[in-house]
Amino acid sequence: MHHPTEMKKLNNKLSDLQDLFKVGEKIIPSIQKLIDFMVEIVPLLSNINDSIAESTSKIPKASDHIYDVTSATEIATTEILDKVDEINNEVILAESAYLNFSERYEKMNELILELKEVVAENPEAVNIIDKIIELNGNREHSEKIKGAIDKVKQYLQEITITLQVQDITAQQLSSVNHLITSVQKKLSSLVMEISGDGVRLANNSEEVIVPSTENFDENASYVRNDNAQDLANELVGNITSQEEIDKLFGNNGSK
Amino acid sequence: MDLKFLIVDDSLTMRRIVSNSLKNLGYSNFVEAGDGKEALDKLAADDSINFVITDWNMPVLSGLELVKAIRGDAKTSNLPILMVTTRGVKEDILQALQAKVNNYVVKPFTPQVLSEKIDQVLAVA
Repeated sequence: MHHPTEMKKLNNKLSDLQDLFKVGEKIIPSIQKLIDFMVEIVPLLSNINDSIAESTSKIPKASDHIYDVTSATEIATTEILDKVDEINNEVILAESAYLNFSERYEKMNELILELKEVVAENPEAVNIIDKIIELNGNREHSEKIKGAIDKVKQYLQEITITLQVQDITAQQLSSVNHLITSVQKKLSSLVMEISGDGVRLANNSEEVIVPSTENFDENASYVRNDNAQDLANELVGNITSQEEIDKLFGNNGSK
Repeated sequence: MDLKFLIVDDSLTMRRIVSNSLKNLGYSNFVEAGDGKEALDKLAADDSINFVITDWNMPVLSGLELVKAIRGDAKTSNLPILMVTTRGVKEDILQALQAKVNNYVVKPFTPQVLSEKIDQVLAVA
C-alpha cells in the first residue's frame, strides 16, 4: 500500500511550498524596495554617466590650456632673455668705454703732474694746475660708475638664474598634465553607453594617450637646494668605480 | 683645446640660459638639440663636438639614454658629458654616474657652478 506514503510526500511538498510562500512574503517587499531603488538609481547613474562623459570631454581642453601656458611662458622668458642679452651687450660696451676712459684719465693726470713740474717757476700756472688736479682727483665718481656696471652685470646674472623657474614650472605643469590625462583615461574607461538594448562600457580609454613620465621630473622644484648640489659633488668626487656605485645602490636609494 | 659644446635640453629657455652662461664664460662655439635623439643625430653629423651638456628629462630619448648611447658607441665613448637636471636625489645621481656622466649639476644652478663643473670635467678629460 503506497497510497499513504504518497500522500505524506504530497503533504511535505505542500508544506515546503507554504514555507516558500512565507519566505516569499518576507522577500517580496525587499525585492520591491530593490526595484524602487533601481528605478530611482538608474536616472541618477545616467546623470553620473553624463557628468563623467562631460568632465572627460573637458579634460583635453584643460590639457591644451596647460600646454598653452607653458608655451606662453617659454616665449615670454625667451623675450626677457633677449632683452637681458641686449642689456648685457650694452653693459659690455659701457664697461669697455669706461676702462678706456679710466686709462686715458690716469694718463692725463700723469701729464698734468709733469706739466706742474715744468711750470713750477710760474705760481699762477701752478695754481691753475692745482685746481685742475683737485677737480680730477676726485675718484669717487669713477668708482661709482665701476660699481654700478658691476651691479648691473650681477643683476643680469641673477635674472638669468631666476628664469630657470620657467623650465621648472614647465616640468611641474607637465606633471599635472600627466595626472589629468591619466584621470581622463580612467574616466573614459568608466563611461557607459546607455540605450534601449542595455548598458555597456563605451571603452574610449584606448584613444587617450598618457604622456610618458620620462618627459618631466615630477619633483622638480625651484627652491635652490644646495644640499642636492653638495650631494652630487660628494658622489662625483668620491666614486671612482662601478663597484662603489653598486655598493651605494645596495645600501640605500636616497640620502 | 678648442671646445664645441652640444647643449641638449627640451626647454628652449634652458638652452638659452646654458648658452648665455657659456658665452659669459668665454665659450662661443656650441650647437643645440631638443632631445636625445636629435643630439645623437648632431653628434653623428658633426665630429667637432667635443663636450656634451645634457638635461635628463626629455621626450623621444631621455638624457640618461643619450649618455648610455654615447658611451656605447666607440666613436663617442670618450666624450666629456655634464648632466644638468632638476633631479637631485641620491638614487638619480648614482644612476647618472652608473651611466658614466663625468659630472652633475642640479638646477637651478649658478653660472659659477656650471663653470666649476666644466673645468673639473676638462681637468680629467
